[in-house]
Amino acid sequence: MGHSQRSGSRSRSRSPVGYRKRSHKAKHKKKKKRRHKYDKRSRSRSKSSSRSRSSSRSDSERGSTSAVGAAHGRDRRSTQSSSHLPGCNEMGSSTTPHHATVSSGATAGSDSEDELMFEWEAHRRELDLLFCGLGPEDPMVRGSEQYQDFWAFLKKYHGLHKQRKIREMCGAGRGAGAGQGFSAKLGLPLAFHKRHNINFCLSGASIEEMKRRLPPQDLEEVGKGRQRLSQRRLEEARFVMLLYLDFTQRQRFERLRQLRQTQAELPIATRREELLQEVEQHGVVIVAGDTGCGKSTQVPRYLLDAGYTNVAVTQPRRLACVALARRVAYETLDLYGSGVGYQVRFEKTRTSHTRLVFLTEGLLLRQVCVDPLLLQYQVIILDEVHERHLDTDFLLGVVKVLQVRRPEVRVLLMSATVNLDLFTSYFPGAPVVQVPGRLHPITLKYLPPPPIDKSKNNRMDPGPYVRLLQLIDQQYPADERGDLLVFLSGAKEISTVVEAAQEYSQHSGRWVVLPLHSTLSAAQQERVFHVAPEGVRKCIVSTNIAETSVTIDGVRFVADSGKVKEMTHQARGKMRRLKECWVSQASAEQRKGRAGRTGPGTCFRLYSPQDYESFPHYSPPEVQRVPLDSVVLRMTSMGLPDPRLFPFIEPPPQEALEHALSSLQSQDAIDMDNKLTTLGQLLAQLPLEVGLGKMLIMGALFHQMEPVLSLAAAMSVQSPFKPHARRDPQCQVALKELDNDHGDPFTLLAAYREWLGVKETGSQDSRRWCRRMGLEEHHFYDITKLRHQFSQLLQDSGLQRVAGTPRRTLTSAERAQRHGQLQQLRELRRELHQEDRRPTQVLRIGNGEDEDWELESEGQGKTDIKDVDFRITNDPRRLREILRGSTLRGQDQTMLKVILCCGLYPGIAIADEHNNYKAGSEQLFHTPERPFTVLHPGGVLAAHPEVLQLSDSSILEAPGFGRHPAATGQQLLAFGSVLETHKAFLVDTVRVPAAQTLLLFCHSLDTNADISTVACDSFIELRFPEPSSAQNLLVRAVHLRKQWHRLLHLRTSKNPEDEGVVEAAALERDLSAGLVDYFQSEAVYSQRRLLAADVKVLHTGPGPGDCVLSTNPFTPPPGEACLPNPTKGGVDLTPYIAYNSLLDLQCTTTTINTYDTVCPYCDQDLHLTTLDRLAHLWQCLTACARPPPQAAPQGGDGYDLARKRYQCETCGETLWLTVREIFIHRKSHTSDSSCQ
Amino acid sequence: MANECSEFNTKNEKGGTFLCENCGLRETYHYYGQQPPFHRGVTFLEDCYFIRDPFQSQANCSLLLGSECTSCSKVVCQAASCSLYYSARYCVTCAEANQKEFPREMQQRISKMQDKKC
Repeated sequence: MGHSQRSGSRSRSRSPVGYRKRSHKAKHKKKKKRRHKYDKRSRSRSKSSSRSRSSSRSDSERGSTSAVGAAHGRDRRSTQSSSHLPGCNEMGSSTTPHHATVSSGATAGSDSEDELMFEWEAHRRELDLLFCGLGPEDPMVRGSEQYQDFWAFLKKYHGLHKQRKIREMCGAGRGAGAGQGFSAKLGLPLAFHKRHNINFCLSGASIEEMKRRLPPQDLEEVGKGRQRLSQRRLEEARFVMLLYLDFTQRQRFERLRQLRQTQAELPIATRREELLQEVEQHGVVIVAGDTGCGKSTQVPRYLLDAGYTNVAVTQPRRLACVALARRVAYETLDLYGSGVGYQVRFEKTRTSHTRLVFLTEGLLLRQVCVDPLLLQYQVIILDEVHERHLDTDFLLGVVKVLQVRRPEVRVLLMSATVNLDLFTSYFPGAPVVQVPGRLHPITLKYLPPPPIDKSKNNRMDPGPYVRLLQLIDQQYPADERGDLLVFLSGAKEISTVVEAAQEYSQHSGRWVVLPLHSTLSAAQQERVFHVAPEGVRKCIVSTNIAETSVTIDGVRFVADSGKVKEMTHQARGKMRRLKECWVSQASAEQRKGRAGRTGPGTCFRLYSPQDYESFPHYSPPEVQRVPLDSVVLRMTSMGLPDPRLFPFIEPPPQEALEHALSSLQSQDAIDMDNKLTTLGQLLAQLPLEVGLGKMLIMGALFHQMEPVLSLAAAMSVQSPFKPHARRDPQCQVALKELDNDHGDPFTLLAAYREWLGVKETGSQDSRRWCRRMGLEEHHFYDITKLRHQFSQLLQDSGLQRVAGTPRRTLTSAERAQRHGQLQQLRELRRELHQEDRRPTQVLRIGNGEDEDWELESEGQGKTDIKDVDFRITNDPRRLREILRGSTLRGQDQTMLKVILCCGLYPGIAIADEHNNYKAGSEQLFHTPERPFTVLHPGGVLAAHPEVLQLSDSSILEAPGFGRHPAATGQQLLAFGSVLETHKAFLVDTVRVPAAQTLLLFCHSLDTNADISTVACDSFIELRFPEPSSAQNLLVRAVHLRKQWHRLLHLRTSKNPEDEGVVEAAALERDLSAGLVDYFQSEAVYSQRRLLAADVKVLHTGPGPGDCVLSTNPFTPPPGEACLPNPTKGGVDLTPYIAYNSLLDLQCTTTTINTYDTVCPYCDQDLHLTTLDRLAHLWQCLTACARPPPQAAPQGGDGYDLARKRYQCETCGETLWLTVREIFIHRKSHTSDSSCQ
Repeated sequence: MANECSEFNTKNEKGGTFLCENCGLRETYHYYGQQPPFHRGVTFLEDCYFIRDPFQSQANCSLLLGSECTSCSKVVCQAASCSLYYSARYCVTCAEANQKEFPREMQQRISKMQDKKC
């Protein structure tokens, strides 16, 4: 290369005069003289020149680098200081001679004057034409980030250039005269010119060509005296462009080098070869390294570089997938390609080119359902396996099986250095690659508090923590920075300590005390990242959230209480227990490690070394603590024959698995042989709790999607009602309007609806509204988000087919309007985000009360970023839709109650028989698993206990009903869960009609001979003074259950035919009307909780009953024989009804007795045995397929409300008849064809 | 490194692996020559190793990795501590050896390179 070119450039650059750089000192003197004129600029120059350059430059760039992450910013800044900028002394002096040669026309004097007046800004249009045309060869695109960057560069260049000019004018000509000509050996030009440092040229940019690009000057411009760019200026512009491009080249290269260097410095880099070798030789490799060793980003990259493709990396959290995919793409220099992608539910960047994909554990499990051998992957990396989530354990079992069936697949387990033995024993022979951590040394001090009399006061003593603050103040100089992080067990303890610490800090003035727990709003949580002013330390008082999830830099001291509040879920009875207990040694170590992230630190343990020794080694994994229903369901849907045989790394208690199976059976998700039912198949597609899934499916089935979505979402997030709201008299009054005495979910729904209303009308600030009502607004945003996710889930799983309501699309005008609105909102969001990123917000001392702080931000009219986000994702129409969907009308509420019951079952509680004499908060309720629970004081029913009580007027005097009176309007509570703290509280309660709920949802109903007594799930006994009304209720329940199955079957059948659709639509209408009517129907009965002693003698036991030969009333004619129940005795009428299985000594009727009754459907007088009567009722019901006459028909369709469309199967006619007429019509056919 | 050298810096126009023989920087390059097809409008004055710019979404952009030292034919990256360009590319060793050949401004820079290395 080169020689000819070099000679070319030589001839171009030869210049008569060479200026040499002046000495620093001389420059300084000059500047002092001129300060009055160019004060600003010279002040910055008078500092060390390289520093001022880099800093002012990064100022101008701050805006343009916003899109790139912090790491990028850092890279960039450091490059700037090391790279060469325009106006560097060497370069600056060189442009001058250049001018001298080209500026032939102008005299020297006018040239210098021109130099001072000239501004490139005035010629922006011309420059744009020169460099930013639309041609593919143009170096930049107008308006791009690079373009703005260039202009900043140009201004800077020109500023420095001007200064030099001024200096020259004052004492020009000095210091000139370096070499001329060329060096002897290498032939280098001795006259230095910056352009010799540039190794490229612009292809289409000869001066002639550049001139041609400029349009002819118009007269107006001439009139204004504006001048075109001279040839000299054109050359200068071109040169600056070259300088700029060269500068960015270096800058970007430096960034690349920095990246490589950072990568090489990570602790994992030393293990690269070892790792790759192990992966080649072994099926399973374990990588162990603590946070910050770089395993999550580097290991996937190594594998890609080594030639592996189709690599899957699982992460426990969605967000980590997205963030890591971005980071690794950047590190593999593939940010703008698709080689690295992520896939989470609802979102993916994965394409056919993707070689490395990050995905959530749940998603990989779903892929196993479709692709059991995971053939799409060559390498599977499970990251963060030490966290041992439910899905992690599930996946570990899956890969263990996979390893046997596909030995060629490579599995990597990445974990913190915790409990490695467990993993190595689970995968025998798997090598462990250990990576050293990156922690600074931490001093450990045990400060056990003196034993105190705990019985006196239940509150914890904040004394030791305040003393610790004093200790730090005394022992460590205030100018040594370093914050304190305190780990406590819960929010209550935190507020105790925060209070005490604030008192201390008020007089010492050296601490800012900040609480941190998950129930704080995001803005409040954000404050722990702000910086304390000089000489002041932050004291962050936190739950274990700061142990792993939130990382705060700058922590030097850690105080560990050694306590944690853990939620344990009991498999049985929906019980959650929040219990304070000692942490594990592993998490105590993790807490300690938080002190050594930024430098050497100290950890104070407020317990003794003996205590530490007594701690369990590891926290129990999730699989040991939570209900396994959904896991077992997914196992079944994967086709695993027996969940009990699944190779768990640490098997959960056998009992938990058994319970999960029986719970799934009772929820109708699997049948008695543990095979998936239709409902189970649907449920398995929803990564949700089974109860929630059922609610959503029910909602879809009955076109109640919108309110059910809102309900399900509202019940899955923390309650937006502030804990103290019910005690605050002001809030109490405000909340009254929201109260719905049917239950908490309805009140929640009402609150959500109100909030949406406030949002929609925009009549008032929703934040202010929420505070007035005692509500936490961010939970409402969460509900909206979750609601959206649920609806996507339903679409995703094909459940939308179950409902099938298309959304109306927007008109073009609406679209346009919305488009403009969105643009505005996005702009607003960008601004807010930028504001958010103001690098360091300094905290003020003593701003303790968070309320004040929030008030203040509101007072300033600050826009809420959550509100902006909310308005971006929810257009007004959608908002209206949700709002409408969350508004209940009369019958809907009952329908929703049915749906809720379906989801909440088996969470049913019965009131204690002595409740009538007790105050609201003392009323007791019994659940099947946990007797003696109370209503949660924050619930709406606790505020209106009277609605749960029987009114005297409803009680019916009947013989034999003393202690448990027979009455109408008997109610039970359906609840979401039992929360055990110091008492057992029922959460998310709804009051429901007792008999109807039990008969409709229980999976085991045992009756006596005339069905006057029904034992439900061996938990509640119903006794009816009037056997026929019990029979009527039971038959209807059976009928509704049957219809429900049929509807589900129709809606889920693979290829729905038109007939099916029509039938389903009709069935849905009937069924929903029937359910509502059933729930609203009245009956007289008594209810009683069956005690353990009662249950023992409940059944007659197996033996030949006296009705074995009867036909089953619930089978189509001619009817099948009843099968005896092998354990309870009596006969099974349906899988859930065991007739005549109860041991009832009082019952005078037997199965063969006949008695007189009236059929409520055909008004016929009947003289039949119980079973025959059931059969008659069943026939009547199925014949008309309608609710009984007293049912309130759904209205609004415009035709005679009492009449309904009836298609007679026998004569094929479509008739509009009342129910009675339909029945008569049917009967006429039967009497025609055959005599009965 | 020496025995593997045949696989590196192959001057293949279609790309290969670039290795700086001074600092050991190793990258996959996408083009070797003077006019990278993915960066139009620019002609380089020496044959260089290029990658597509990994830091910008714009299509028309390249990033120069390095080129051959005119004097000793060693392949060096464009980092200021490995090479300099003054009319032609010189690796840090050759630049030091011929320091006298350069104008004074460049000499200062070469001394700085030495400082950095120490």
